[in-house]
Amino acid sequence: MMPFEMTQFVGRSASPFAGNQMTDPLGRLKRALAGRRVLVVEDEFLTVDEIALAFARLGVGLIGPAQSLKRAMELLESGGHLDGAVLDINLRGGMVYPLADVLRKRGVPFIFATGYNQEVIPERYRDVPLCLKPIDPLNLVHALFPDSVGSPGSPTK
Amino acid sequence: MVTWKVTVREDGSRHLALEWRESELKLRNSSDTEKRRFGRRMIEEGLPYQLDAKTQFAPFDDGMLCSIEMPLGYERRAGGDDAI
Repeated sequence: MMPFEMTQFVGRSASPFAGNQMTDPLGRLKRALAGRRVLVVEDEFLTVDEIALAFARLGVGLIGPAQSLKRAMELLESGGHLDGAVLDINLRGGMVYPLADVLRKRGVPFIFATGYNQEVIPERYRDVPLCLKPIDPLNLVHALFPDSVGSPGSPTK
Repeated sequence: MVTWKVTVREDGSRHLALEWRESELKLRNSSDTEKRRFGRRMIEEGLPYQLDAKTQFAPFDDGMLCSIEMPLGYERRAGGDDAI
């Protein structure tokens, strides 16, 4: 697998959402994301608030949010299908990796939303997309569901 | 006026109780359905989420009392068990 490069998202972040395109990229994105359920694990209120607002606009169902590993595990065990997860790495001093392990076992895609850089992330998670803080919610959706938006210039279903 | 005190419970946990009393206010109608302002959302939603705080607003004649209670963790023991 190719190592993930942040520049992918930096480069394409603006274009699919610009309002003056011939197509309707936002509408297309909303249709692609409709009904998806995404767990959000993040201990900072303002970040959660921003993600929640973006999810509401895009029609993405927010599961949680959870501000601690314990709460996140409870949400996970309480059932319900998950299409993806957004994980802050450091949660009130605890690390999110045990949750990431469970998600990986269940085949739920996830991304890290964090101020950490790639070097401090354990080897086994080096291929997980990283959204650096401050979070751009649209970048985040791109990173989590690359299939929903396609690459710039490529035909989209 | 802001006053606060820190108490230590028997289990060694420390708790902050803060009172913010603001007088001579012109309060907006409490039935106002307008989206609440940022500061109020920070206190009523942000502090509970991020700091496990309990917060409350109580209006009085010409003002508002905001009470905030939150845990501050555990008291450090003399000798510093938790020193690294």
